[in-house]
Amino acid sequence: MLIAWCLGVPRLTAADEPKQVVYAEVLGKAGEYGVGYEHSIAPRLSLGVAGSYALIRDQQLVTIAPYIHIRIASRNEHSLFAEVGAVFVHSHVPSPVANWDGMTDDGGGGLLSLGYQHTTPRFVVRATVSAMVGEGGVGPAIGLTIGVRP
Amino acid sequence: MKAALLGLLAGCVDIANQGTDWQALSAITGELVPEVGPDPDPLPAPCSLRIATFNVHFADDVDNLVAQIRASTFLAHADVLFVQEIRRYISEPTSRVSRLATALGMTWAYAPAHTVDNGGVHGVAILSKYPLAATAMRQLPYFDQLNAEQRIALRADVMLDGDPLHLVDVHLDTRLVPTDRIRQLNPALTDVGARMVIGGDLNTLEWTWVADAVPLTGEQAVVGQEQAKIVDDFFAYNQFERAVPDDVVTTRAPIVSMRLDDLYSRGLPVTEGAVEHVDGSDHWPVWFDLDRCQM
Repeated sequence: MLIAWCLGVPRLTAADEPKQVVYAEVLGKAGEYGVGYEHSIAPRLSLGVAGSYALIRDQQLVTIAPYIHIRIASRNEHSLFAEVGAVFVHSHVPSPVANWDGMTDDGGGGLLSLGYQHTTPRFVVRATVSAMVGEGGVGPAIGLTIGVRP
Repeated sequence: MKAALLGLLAGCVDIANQGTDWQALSAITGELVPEVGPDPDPLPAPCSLRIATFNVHFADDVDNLVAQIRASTFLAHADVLFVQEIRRYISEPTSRVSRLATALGMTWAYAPAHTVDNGGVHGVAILSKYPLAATAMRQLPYFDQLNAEQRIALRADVMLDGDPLHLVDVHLDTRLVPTDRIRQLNPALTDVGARMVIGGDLNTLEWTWVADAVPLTGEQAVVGQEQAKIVDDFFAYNQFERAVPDDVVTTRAPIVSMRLDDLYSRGLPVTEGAVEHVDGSDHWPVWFDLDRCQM
């Protein structure tokens, strides 16, 4: 339905880059899933933040990722972009047994992403490849995002 | 659809069974029947006891494995060797563990965890230069996930001049989240004893997993909360100590070049230990020395 809706809308120009985007993502910079907000501050630049709270088999993960979104190139409704930012993660592993008290860690690191964006008058769809760097080394992430332009 | 989505969000894995209590090896029959080797020739118990663990990846070539161990600097002098992923086939005249142990001048206790194709079984073993007693195994909690296997813990007491030291050899699942890894591991040190050594292939892949399939590698890189460190913390809470540095690598596969195997001692001080690069498997063995004479 979303695809059909997208195909039925008029083509966009680079000037139609969204001023604001509210989005949901899966397996992106905010972990398993997250929500985010972006605000355009210049024709090619936006500031954004994504965050999530995930509960994975009792493990609690809180992730916040502020970033700069940079449109590298665009043609009609297609564009390539990069994102540079920071990622902060709080992880709490509660003890599932009586003879342990669990473990909590906090960490901060950097984020570099490259992605593709498809834009319609109402929706933004992105696919992103990211590298996150922190005290645990470098980790890749491949995310999918669907956003709306309020 | 809603249930599938909730499953993805929640992790999608469940405990299918909680495992069993410790069962004496002598009480187990059928195709998973364990083996216990004959007592070795008597030896005086040493002050420094070397214990090692080695995932031998099926031990398809026992003669080569024996040669690699004999040629090693540290593993060759192990008094006790925990072995994981060793198989027995009905088509072979003797079990691989019996051939390995006999060639190394050790006795053995072997417990298959499950069957494999072509009439085989797959399990863990404890090899020792000193007599083994009170051999038992327990099935560990089974997690219903992709390509899951029944996992077990094998225990035995190594008799050192009549003084028993409790030993437990474990091999855990691969794609467990940290809480489930502790759930699976904890029974292996329950109802064993105060003075004990536990170790094996803990399969501590660094990441948390979504739906037992997708590793959260990005968040893990940021927070640095590797599963090996979580398991270390669990053992430290239970008064165990270990020897090797946190960042050693015990596997040879590049993608999972991390610490999957380790040893932990409670009640006997660890004096030294390391990972040794010994060929013959896709893992490197870990060893440590315990000082029995300080006690």
